[in-house]
Amino acid sequence: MYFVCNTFPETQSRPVVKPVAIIGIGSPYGADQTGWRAVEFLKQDHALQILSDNQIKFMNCDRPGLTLLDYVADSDCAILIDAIEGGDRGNVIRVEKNQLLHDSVGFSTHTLGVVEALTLGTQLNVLPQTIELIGIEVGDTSSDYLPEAGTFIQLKHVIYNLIQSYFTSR
Amino acid sequence: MLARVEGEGALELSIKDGKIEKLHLRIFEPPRLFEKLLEGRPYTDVIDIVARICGICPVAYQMSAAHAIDSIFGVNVNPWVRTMRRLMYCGEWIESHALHIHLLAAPDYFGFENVVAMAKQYPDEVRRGLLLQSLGNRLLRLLGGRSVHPVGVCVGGFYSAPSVDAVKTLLKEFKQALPMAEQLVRWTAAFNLPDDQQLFTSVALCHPHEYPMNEGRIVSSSGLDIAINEYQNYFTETHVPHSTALYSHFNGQPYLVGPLARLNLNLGKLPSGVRQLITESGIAFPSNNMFHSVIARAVEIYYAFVESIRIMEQYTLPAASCMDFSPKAGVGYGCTEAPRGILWHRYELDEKGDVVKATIIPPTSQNQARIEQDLQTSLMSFGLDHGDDELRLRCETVIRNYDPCISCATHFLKLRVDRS
Repeated sequence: MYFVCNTFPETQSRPVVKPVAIIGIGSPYGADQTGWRAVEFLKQDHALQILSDNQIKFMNCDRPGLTLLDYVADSDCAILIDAIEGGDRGNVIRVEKNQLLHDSVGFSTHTLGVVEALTLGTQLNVLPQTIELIGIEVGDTSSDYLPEAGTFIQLKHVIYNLIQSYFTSR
Repeated sequence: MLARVEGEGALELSIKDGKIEKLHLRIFEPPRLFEKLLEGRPYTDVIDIVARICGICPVAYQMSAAHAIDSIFGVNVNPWVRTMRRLMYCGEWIESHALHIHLLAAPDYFGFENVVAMAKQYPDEVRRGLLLQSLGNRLLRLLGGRSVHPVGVCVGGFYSAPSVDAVKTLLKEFKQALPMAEQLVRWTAAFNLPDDQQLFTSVALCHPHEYPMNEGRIVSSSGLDIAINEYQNYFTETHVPHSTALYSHFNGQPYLVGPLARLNLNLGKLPSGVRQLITESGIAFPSNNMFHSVIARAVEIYYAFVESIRIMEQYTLPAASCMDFSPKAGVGYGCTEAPRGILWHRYELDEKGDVVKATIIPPTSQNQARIEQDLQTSLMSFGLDHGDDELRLRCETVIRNYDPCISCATHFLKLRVDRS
């Protein structure tokens, strides 16, 4: 219980101006549900539940395109969770922003994804100060694979660390 | 079958002795068969299914279907439902047009490869586009629960009514953003657009009292004036070997639907303030310059803001957000003005309200033949002696100007030029 109450001690001493946004990205189908399932798991976590609505907000969105910029607009820290095609199934990786962003994206309104939205958001300087993308490798995205509990527990600790770092740095 | 065209296309161009021998806009997106998929399904499924046809203009599909099924069941919606349907349509025009102008079309006219490159030099303009698009999406969420494939619309009205407070909040933001929409009209009117006058027939809805969205008769610049249920007596759809999209013709000729056609045929239905802004912009409508489509879109964004503000200022909670009705057998028609032009639906339902037959004719397929006709004229006017890259860019610009779903892939065009 002590751990649960004191996972984020920094939040007790400093007022939070804008909430941390934890956003699951995906769709209702197959392995692409991974981001949504991850957010549903995190919502049930006691340590994260202790943070008030003003400190943390959870969202799931379905292939948001540029609407992603709206979702992150009210936060200084946004954590995006998305399935990553390929790799070792269940592997949780932290993707650096500069690994994602590039100038040569061919913008398409039907295929406009996270990379394109973040690229444009960076160019327009409308992204939160801290933006993190956590990927969960799912192998073949057309499969019905969904990560097991161990993956989500690993993810939870990654999220803890990111939130603690953010609160500490403020 | 309904053949959708979003996805990739290609242009096949053969030039011989300084003349275009063959020009084919090839659409190879496989048919999505929505009309067949609807057969046997209850009327309650129709509105949510047809919304899935397009992620950019789902409301248009919902509204055409709702009006068609309303007519079969004999539903006369109350003024609140009618007005909210119009408000929701405003949201779709705003988000769709703002996306097209800023992200897809503007880079063509400023000489940028894409909107990211353009944002380096024009960040405020791109931010404005995103803000306007976002406000359009907010309006869709207000009435539809979400902006992509909204779920709030049903036969006879809406599943629920938004609260007065929610409308007030959005109204305030719309009033704040109105000057941006006005600025957008002036901005697009100042684009260095090609002066490419062409002869074409405009087709749009026309309503006696308002700029058309959900209701009206089908009219043309050549004098057509028919009820929507007469559409198939005058317009034909045919297959062509090089495209999975059906080609539409009116009296055997290509025709134009969309913002320029709407504005050309309905200028007098705009409020005086909007007409004044058009006059001040220095662009004369009706216009035969296809490139004025981008200005027409900007005008419609501004009008949709004015109209949304008018409606939201008068908003009150309804006694009922949806009419009572009983399913019955029959045939019904719906035709509404999607952002890209008239979207025509026909449904035949049985006595339980299950779909026996559905026909959906989207604006993009209606514009296919017109796009090819435009390309022929534009390329001859541009000059065929340009290099392949220059020809490709001009072709892309011409095609994107129609805002077809295939334009979504900004640099989609694979141009094969045979200069034999």
